[in-house]
Amino acid sequence: MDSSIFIWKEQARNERNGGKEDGGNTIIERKNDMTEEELTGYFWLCGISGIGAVSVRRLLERAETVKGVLALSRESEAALIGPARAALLERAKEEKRLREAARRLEGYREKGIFFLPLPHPAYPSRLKEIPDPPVALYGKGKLPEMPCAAAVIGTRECSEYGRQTTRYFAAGLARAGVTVVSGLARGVDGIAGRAAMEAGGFSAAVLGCGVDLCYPPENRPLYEWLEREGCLLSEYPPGTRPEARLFPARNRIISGLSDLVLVTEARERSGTLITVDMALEQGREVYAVPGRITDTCSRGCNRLIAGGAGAALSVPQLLRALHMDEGAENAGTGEGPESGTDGEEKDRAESGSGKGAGAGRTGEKPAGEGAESKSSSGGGAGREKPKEEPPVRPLTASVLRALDCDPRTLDEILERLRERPEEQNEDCRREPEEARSGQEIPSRCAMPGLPELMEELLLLCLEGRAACRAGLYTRTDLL
Amino acid sequence: MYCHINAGGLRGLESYVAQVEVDVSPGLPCFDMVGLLASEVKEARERIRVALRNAGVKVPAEKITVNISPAGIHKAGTAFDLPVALGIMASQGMIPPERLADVLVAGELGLDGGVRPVRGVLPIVLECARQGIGECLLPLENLREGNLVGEVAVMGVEHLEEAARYLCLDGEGRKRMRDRAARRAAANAGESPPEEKAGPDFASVKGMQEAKAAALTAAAGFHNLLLVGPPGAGKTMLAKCIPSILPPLGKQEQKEVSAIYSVAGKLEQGRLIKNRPFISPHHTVSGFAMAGGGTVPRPGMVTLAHRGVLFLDEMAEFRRQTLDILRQPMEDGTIYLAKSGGNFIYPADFMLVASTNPCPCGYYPDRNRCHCSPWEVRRYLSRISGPLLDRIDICCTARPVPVSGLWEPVKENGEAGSAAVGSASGNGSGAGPEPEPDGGREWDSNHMRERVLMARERQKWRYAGTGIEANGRLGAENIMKFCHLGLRQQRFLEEAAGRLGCSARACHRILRVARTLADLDGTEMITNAHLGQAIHYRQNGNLYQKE
Repeated sequence: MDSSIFIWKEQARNERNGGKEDGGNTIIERKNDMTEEELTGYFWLCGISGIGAVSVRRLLERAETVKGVLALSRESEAALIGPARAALLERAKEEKRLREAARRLEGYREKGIFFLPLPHPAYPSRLKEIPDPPVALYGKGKLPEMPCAAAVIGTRECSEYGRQTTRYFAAGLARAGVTVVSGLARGVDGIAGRAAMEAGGFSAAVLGCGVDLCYPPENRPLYEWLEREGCLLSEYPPGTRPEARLFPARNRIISGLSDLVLVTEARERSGTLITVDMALEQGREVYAVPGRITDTCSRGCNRLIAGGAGAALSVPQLLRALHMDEGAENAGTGEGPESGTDGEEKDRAESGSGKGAGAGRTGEKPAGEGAESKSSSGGGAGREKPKEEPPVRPLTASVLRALDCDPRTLDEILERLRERPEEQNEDCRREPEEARSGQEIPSRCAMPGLPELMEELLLLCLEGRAACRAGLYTRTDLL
Repeated sequence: MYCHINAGGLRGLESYVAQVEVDVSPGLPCFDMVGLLASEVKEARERIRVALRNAGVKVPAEKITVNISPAGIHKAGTAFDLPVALGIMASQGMIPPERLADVLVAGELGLDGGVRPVRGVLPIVLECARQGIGECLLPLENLREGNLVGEVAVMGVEHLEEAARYLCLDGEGRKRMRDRAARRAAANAGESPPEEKAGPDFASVKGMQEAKAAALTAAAGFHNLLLVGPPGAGKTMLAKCIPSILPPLGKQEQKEVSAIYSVAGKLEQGRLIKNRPFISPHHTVSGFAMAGGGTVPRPGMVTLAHRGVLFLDEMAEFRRQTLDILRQPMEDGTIYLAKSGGNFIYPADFMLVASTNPCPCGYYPDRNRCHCSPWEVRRYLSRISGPLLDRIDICCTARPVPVSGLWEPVKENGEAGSAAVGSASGNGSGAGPEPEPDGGREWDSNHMRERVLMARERQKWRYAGTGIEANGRLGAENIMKFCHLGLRQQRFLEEAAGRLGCSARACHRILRVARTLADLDGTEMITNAHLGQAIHYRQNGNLYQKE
């Protein structure tokens, strides 16, 4: 451990590759790779108030180890980091300060917080490759062990469409074994984390405050879940309060931890776009979920696609981009658009800027078709129990047809049912042959009254095919 | 010489019969009034002295002592002027004391000896009837109000002298004078205005079927209702239509409500209140105005809305403390006020109708228009406290009607279609014929009122002898007794409750609403459709959903 920081990095990579085989190693076990003394030393160096990441990096570049830093003369320190900081550093070198650092580290460990300096072998290798990796990470939970990771990020104020696409992508990726990285923010970030955990996958959240604080407070349940079974990371020492200026910097860690960045919904001038800039700087692949050009919530995404980002159309497509396609089938996520068109989509999406907009436009079509083919095959919850097919209700097909991703009131649903009565009837005639050949369907499609509609919607909600938020209904099995 | 005369006093909404005792005895000339009197009663001295002189009565240069008993009750109001003046006249022998025995007197005096109206006449006369006092002498303007009771002979006077003349007469003469006064009062009042309509008609609200159905259900079961929607969705308009479908007040209820309004001084021309009250306070209303304020509190908004509708427009703009006042009345149907003047229990059995925007800008969850952060949305709605929200059975989302929906649809199938709608609404369940595109006649006030009345009849029949008035007032102990579920329905509710995370309390509310929905359909059997609808109304109330 006394070569240059770059050699450490090399070592760390090798060790990580070694560690990958035995798997299941947590940071606590890997602690042995770095002596307790060294760890405390780094903790001390990173914890000196007034000396930031840049100074620490400069010092380490020159002195190579913490021991080296301790041995530096005041003059050479001043030359490196300026006289004011040098004075701070000298004061911090006192014996009692060093002991205090050791005590504090022990205290954190008791609270379940681990400390991970840049040279540590368990430090995420992807993060080491970015231009300015954090000199140390503080964390809770366990470090991701998955072979690859994807960031799922987006606006804090998401629409129903954003909520659904986020849930679909995050759950699908997580199920395929991809670590879902996000920022525990309101809106898309929180939804992504929750969906990934609910799908039984692994999720990591990078906070803009100390890992012992939960911000925003409404994501407390998710925070606690990640603490238990996922991972919480931050470059700021525990106790750091959330401040607006800290958040953009944590975005580089989100993208740095990931192989791919997926933006599910972003407005024209969204903070999410900062993460995207970082991701591009770091050479990460960027995907965005296309939306309608009239939706202000999707404008940022559409612009990204126009600017060359990939159009995210399905989970298998993203898995292919992550070179994880063989895992996809195992995880049973092959539920997106027909696989035939997928290859093309991927090519188009990856081939770059010029065709980006086109991909977005045509991308809507397969998604819609996919949805229809699904609605007739029973959709979300029906998939789980194909053996005992529930009796077909007369209204299901037409009500599902009247629902879409936009939240609608009962009145609007009724209106839509009435607008297209011929289509409904046609639907009734067509349905049996197309989808449920064995089932018989009541011959007449009655126009429902309000009570029947409410009952049908409730049943659809219970089956997970529709959702009700604040009295507005949306369809949830389109993806 | 000593004499006494009956007078009426008010204490909160209750009235009592007070004795005005007058003693005129030799001594230094003075005029003293005792008996825990408020300043307006003490001031009566000057009014009475001048009024007596102007009426041609000589105030004796002797010691006059007036005591109003029971002396322990705080007396307020101006209704004691007339009895004191008449008592002084009687103690001088100008009115035979035995003629005062069976009469209660109330009225304010002017300096000219004229008699002016007072408030709270109806409860006073009701108290007379209860205590068996046969006659009331009131200001002429209060005559009609006094006559509402019926069991008490009521005389209205305009002048002190006229009052004295009346009291000197015997039974026959008094009756003649009463008849004359009645004719005069009728002439003064002029023609009685036509029966006023209770609010605008639902037919003027286009579209909004969901909200109309919610209002119908709320009215039929006396459930509390919350309307959520963006500005311009027609929430206020819809709420104002609700009185037009409420069942009329019963005879006893009319007197109950009129007595409250009489005390509040809001009984117009002494007419009995026949329509259910619709009280719509502005959101700046103070807690005292809402609950009832003062040492002896005047009825507040919750009491004025008794047996009627308390409409809180823009509920989230109200102060939270003001809203939390509603919790106890909504639970008990009465409000318990502990004031320096004593403890008072006022009736406050109202139906709460509230409207609110979903967020400060009003357009959530339309994220293309609403830029409120989730935190702002939550903070806005959290002004309505959870326990209050918990007492609202029906919550309904309103969305603006498209402009094209404002005009009558061009009917292609003529009248036949709409006639079929009427019958479809009757049985309400199953695959009835296709309802008319815009709801048609089914959703005007007359039809809705009929259905409400029918549902109320059924409830009256079911709850006969139990003291329960409507489904909305069913307590938890009675819900299981009156809301029977079949096995299929039970399983359906269990599954839904499990999946949607409903508490036992929420299930009770769902059952109550389902009971009303079944009543509206004219059946004792609660079906899955009823439950589904009730759950929908309940689910809408979950305003605090996570992102």
